[in-house]
Amino acid sequence: MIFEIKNLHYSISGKLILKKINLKVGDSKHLLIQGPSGCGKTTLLNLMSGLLKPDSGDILFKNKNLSNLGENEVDLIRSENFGFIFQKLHLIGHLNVKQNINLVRKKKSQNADNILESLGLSNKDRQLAKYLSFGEAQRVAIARGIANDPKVIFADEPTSSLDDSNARNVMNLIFKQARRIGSTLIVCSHDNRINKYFKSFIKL
Amino acid sequence: MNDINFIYYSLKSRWLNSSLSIFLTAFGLAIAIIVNQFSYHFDNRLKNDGKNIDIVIGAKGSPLQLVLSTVYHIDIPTGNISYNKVKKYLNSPQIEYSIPLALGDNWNGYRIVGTNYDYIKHYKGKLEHGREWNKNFEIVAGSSVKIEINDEIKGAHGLVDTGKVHSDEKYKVVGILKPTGTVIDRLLFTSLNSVLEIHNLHHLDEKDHHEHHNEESKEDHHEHHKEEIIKKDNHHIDDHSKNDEKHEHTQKKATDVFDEQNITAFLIKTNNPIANINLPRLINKESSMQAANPAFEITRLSSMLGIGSKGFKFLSIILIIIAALSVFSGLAGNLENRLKDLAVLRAIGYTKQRIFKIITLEGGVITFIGIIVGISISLISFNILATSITPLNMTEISFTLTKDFFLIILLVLLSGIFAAVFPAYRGSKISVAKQLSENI
Repeated sequence: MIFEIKNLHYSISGKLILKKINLKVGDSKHLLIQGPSGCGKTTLLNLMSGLLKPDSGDILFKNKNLSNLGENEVDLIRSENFGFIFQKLHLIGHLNVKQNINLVRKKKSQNADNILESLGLSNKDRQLAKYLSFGEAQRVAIARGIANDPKVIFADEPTSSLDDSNARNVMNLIFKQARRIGSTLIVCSHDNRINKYFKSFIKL
Repeated sequence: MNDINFIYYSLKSRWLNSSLSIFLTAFGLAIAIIVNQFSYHFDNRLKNDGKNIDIVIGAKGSPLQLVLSTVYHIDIPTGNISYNKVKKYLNSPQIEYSIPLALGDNWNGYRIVGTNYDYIKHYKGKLEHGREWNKNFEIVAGSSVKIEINDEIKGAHGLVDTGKVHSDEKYKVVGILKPTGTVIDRLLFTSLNSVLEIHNLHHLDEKDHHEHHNEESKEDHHEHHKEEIIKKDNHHIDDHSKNDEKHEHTQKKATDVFDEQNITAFLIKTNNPIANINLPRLINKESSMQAANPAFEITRLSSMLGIGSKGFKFLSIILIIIAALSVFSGLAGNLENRLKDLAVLRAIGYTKQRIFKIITLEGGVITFIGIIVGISISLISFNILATSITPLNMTEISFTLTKDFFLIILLVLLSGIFAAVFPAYRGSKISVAKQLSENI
């Protein structure tokens, strides 16, 4: 198991958002976290990636309980094992495409040029992120999410603002890259169009 | 991408803000350094030029003016005194040695000082080229004077470069001194008699003066002087600019000599500190001359100038604080726009410490560049001021790496880094999940 969550509880300002969550995710398996807006999907993603600490319960990544680790240890796990594709992309505007990708801690085998080539961004590598089109920026966000050969790719609402065609393209791209590097994909979305890509679901 | 690259691109992305912080830091530092440099040279000059001169005897008037004109050569003398009247005080056993000065002329703004070689020895002056003067109208020049050996010059009336040129006698440069870092670097020296002769005054026996303080016990000393010091002119040596009409000379009998004024001042080194108080008191009480204590007058001057100097120091501190606040406001103000960027960095694995380090280093880099620019500005400004403003250009002061210079730099660097600490702390403590999920 790459992830195991036991009896997870989490509340915000006294309001219980996540109650008694239990789930397991196997190596190279993909999970879709579904639910309406505001149900706690992103919060669960943040808890699994160590960006938040649970009120109670355990989150085990490769049998290490993230709740018991220090901040720097969790930061190290994140930098070496997790990739992120944020809903709002969050590229750093004053850096160019290549520099945005180079922000992550890459494995020796990885090369920004190869990633950009595989995503059709070779000719955009020197362009500042703030001048990219949305489609280009989305591909750069995906490139950054896989640049460290992560064991787990977290994607938050990757298709929420896209039409059917673009949603399909993005999902194909993410799955293709996840398969290429053998990653586990954990996606949270309220978009039912992407259900067909997953065998495992959790509904909140 | 390493942190230095990240900092570079981050500062570059807000270059206007960064430049403002850099220049504020630079100007604050430059003013502080320039004030410190001039203050250092001023203090140093006051200390070195007045060293071992305990009393100055000259004509009545402002004691500060007397000291400034005869010890520091930056004012007009108060008048002249009779060599013979001062002589009885020079016999005092409390006097270690005394040096006569006759002022009144200049060449291209450099003062011509009639004296004996004791004056040069007093400042530990040594010849770089040529030889000492051994007859009248031979000159030895200080190291800063723009003159060459064998040059022939004519002195001009007065102590600034605007007086009427003496048409009668020419001086010949026979020696150039090594730099001493004291007032003698910017003076021209000749025998006492050269100055007296050019002003139609009869010679003083300079040899007698040497013997005078070597053989103070000789009782017939006064009489000896009576015969040898003859003045045939009642002209005030250093009053040429306003007294040119007095060139009509009146012949005087040798016996009148005690009532005449024929020398500008005597610089006295005593052999005990009590004499520094008692001797001036005695001279001021008994005679028509004035005895001033340079140490006392300079302390008085420093306390007056100190107000201005402190004002500049205060201004420097204010500027350094403004520079630090500019670094602070630049980083803190920009932090609001960067919170999401920092949250992304935290999410992809940057530790809090690394974020703290990056923001602090940004402040450090701004301050460091500001320091480099500030040092450059201060060096250029100092050299422009030191070479273009009289009398600074005569003193040939040079930029000196003082302890205060390094302290100022350290203070500015620490201020800049300290100003960056709060934004850095705040940046490192952001809630990553909250920042990344915000819709606006």
